[in-house]
Amino acid sequence: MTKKVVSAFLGAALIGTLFTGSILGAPKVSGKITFSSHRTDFATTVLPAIVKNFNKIYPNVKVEIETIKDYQPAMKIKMASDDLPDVWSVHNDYYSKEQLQQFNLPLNSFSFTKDFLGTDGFKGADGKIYALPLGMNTTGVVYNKKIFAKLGLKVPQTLDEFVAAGKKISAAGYVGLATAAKAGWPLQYFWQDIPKFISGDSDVRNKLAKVDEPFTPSNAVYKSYAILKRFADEKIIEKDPLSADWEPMKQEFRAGKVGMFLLGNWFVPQALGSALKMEDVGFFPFPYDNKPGPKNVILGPDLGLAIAKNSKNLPAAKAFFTFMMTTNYADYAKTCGLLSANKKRPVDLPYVKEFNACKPVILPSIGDTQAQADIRNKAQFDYNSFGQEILGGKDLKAAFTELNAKWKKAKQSL
Amino acid sequence: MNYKTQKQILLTTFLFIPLLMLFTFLIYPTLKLVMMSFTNWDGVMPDFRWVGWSNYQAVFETPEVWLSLKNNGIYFINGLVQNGLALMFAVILASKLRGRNLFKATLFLPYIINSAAIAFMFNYIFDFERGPINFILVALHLEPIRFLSDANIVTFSLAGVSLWRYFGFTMVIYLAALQSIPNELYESAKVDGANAWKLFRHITLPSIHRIIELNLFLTLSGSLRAFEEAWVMTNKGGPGYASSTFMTYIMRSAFDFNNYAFAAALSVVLLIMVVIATIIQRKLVLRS
Repeated sequence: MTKKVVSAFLGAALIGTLFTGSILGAPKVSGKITFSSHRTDFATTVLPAIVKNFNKIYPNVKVEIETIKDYQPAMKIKMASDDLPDVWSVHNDYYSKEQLQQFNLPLNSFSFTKDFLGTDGFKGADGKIYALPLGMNTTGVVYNKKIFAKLGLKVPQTLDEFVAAGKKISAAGYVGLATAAKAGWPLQYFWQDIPKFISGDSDVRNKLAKVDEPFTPSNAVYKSYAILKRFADEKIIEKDPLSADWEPMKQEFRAGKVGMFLLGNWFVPQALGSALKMEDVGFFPFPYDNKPGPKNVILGPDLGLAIAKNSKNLPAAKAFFTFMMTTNYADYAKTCGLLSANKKRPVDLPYVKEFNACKPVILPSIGDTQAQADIRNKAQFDYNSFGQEILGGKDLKAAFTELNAKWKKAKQSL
Repeated sequence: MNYKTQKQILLTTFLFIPLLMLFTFLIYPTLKLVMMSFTNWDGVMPDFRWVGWSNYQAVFETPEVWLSLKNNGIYFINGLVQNGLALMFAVILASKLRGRNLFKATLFLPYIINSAAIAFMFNYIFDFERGPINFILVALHLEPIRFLSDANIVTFSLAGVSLWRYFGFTMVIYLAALQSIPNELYESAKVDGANAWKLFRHITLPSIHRIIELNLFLTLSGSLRAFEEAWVMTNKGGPGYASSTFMTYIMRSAFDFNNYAFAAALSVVLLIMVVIATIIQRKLVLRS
């Protein structure tokens, strides 16, 4: 009897050692996982290189890379059909808090999560964090230093100086300020960031949800689009902004034919090429009014990375996620031209030094509240389409009157 | 097993798989779609609420829906022009013209070109600063046209692309129909002294009247389903909502605004519109 008990006990202990081996031994993580990204331009270059580096630590994990062109709608379908990739790139401001919580693993238990900034927009309805930013962005003006030097221009400190510089550049045959308005999304800063700069209040958009008809001429969003209209009226943008698409305008900038482009630090690596070297491209804070002195800027997350809750290979997914957010973090952020969101992994971008030399005031990063996002979706308000309509010649006052009516209706129906 | 039973078994087994596929991929999703249009589902979460007719109410109260419908109307008028042109060319090419086979091939070619390639090509042709049409206009000291950025003409430009693309297909159908008309009818009419127009009106048109009905139905349902040109060439129906069609608006509601149920209601409304329009069209054409 005792012999049976002892041998059973020894057998269990033996089997037990096998299990401890797989918990302690990192290289034993194996299997297949999928990783998705919207960077189709990285599909054959950067992403396979990352997987190769990952496989040096975890040789038994096969990572399948998925780059999709129309990324966001494809991801929504995958969410609905429970077919999310194990590790996937999450766009900021595209998913509701409930959606983030329903389909992803909460990340608060990882040791490095507390080192991250910009997690507000990736929190679920329960307040836990469901994605971590792959980098941070600050919105500003990327400019061609060669054109500025040629025309004797200094970095504009006020809105009037900005318009004057734009006019001078346009008169010289270049594009003063590129908008790439046909693509829509390059106009997002007039909704997302510039109202925050103008009001100095990061919560300015969420406050819209509390008022029935918030878009009065003194409202920061109204003023922001008024600046866009002024750029169009003063003719410092493309001759026909609505037919200027993203890829062509990007090429125009790279070829040295554009003076300024209101985007973010992420654009600078994409602007470099045979015509423009690192020292030919600069970055300064956007002067949104005529008050001299330090400007308000925002530091917000770029895309985030999340782990699907129903992943069939959680150990491998967690291993890859950890690799992306720690070991490989600074490398990838630098390739994309992003600032670091991980306090322990700084990223050194030379052009941001120029930006910081202007001593900008960094406003805190606050995500959209569900209330505001719900009203926006119910009203079917697309701020990029709105920007396009303004550039198309729609009267500012009429456009906002219409928007106020839609906003009120949506608010009351919720 | 007698012959009748064998026949039954054969029919059932052969029909089983196609019917199963029809049910799984057509009937079940359509029923689910109609059900979803009465909820507030956002397309992703596993839960939803029943909201009755409010989505349908919203369909009729949203100005962008009427704008999209107006754009679909432009595609329909364009389709009528397309039919007229196709019939005219078919009549010309049915006669003994020299090189008619070459013309037939050239006019049909646009139909088989890949749509991404067409979108790319027309983006260059319509380009405001560098496109060939504007280049000629500027050389003649005329104003260049904002083909894809002027809200008033963007749908006409896109409909033009659609005409260029599908015109060959319509023409080939008319050609086939024309060749089925026996020559004796024409010869005896010519002997009686009929001119070309009388020949066309009294012999050609009545003989191919069923084909014209078919093509008109294709035009109508095609115009209500217009999607590709607007989606690809103007970035989802831009600028703003100027060139949005019913289909592009449905796609945006479902994926950009998390309003899947609203998009479902729009789809059901679209389906009903196609049915009603077809019934009206049949009654009109049958009467003539």
